[in-house]
Amino acid sequence: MNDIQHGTRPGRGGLLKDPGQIAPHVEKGWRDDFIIELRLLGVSGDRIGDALATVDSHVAESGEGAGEAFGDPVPNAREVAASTGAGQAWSITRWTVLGNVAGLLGMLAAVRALTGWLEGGPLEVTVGDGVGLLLLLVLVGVLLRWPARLVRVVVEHRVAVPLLAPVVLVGAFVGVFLLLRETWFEVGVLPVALAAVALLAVSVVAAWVDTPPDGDQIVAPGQGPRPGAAVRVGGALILPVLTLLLLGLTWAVHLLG
Amino acid sequence: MNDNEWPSEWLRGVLGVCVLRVLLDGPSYGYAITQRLADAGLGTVKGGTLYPLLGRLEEAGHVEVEWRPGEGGPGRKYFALTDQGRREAADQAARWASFTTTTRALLDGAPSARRSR
Repeated sequence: MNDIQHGTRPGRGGLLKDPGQIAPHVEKGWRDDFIIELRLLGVSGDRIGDALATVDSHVAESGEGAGEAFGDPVPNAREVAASTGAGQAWSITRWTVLGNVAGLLGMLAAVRALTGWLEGGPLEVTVGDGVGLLLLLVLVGVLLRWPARLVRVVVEHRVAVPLLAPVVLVGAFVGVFLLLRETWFEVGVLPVALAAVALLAVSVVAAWVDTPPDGDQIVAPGQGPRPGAAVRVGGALILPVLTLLLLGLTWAVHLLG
Repeated sequence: MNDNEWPSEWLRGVLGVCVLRVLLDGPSYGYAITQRLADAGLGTVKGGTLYPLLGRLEEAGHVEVEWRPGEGGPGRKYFALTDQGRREAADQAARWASFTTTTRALLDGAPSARRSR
């Protein structure tokens, strides 16, 4: 997801990342859960900064931890959203999901097109590909229908989901591809390559539209946001850049193999 | 004043009135307000209880907020009564006094009150 990608870039504010200077006295786990819930509720970046600074100030003076003084971060976040107005700012939207899915599909299509071209023939689309695509579309449908709720599930089961989800997903897709290998139809490399470019273009546009102009950064009270253009451009270009890297890797493997 | 824990339902009812009263003495910040309430014998009020209340007061227009830089530490979020808030504080204090008079009249009518004072 774009926001998580932003958050893992060092030195950038981004949508999920608290620069850390705003609430240094608050335990990281509490702070992260607080910020995530506030983002999911659509509270704007400046109000998140204000809430963080308030908690930090109280914690610093009282000497108690945030968990002790404020209890669970989620109800606190809901109170903040209730009194400052939720749903005003960025939250997980259809654009977020669409952008990421289109980007991933474009990336996969690009890699397939390159492999097909390197092997010199038309691409063989197998039954497994078709079923896999269907599975992916079902997943996308679920994600589009209940985006915020799904992110909440992921956030609330921070251990189980990262362990189980890849296993289940990879297992399902690998199984489908391996077991259903009969060729369904053949398609030229060029159409697939063009589709890849189109999908990646869609992902760039969707990511651009999805990110607010100043990046809706979390800022401390009285502080102005850092210039946000970099956040927006960076977020939009992540998947195309990753695709190029993956294509390079594929080519290198082919040359060596 | 005794330091026993009051029933939380009672505290929930009176907290708004008390916070308004504290602010009548002048702008203050969250932690100082909890200290004042504790000193008055109301026990410990948690941040998770106080700040949502202050947020509602701000939303209702009774309180305005100002961040002031702290001395060497993080800044403090000061809450100050607006004119509307001052009227509300006085009004609530008077009504609560009237409420306690009413309830005491009922409670003091219990049998033990027959002992002449």
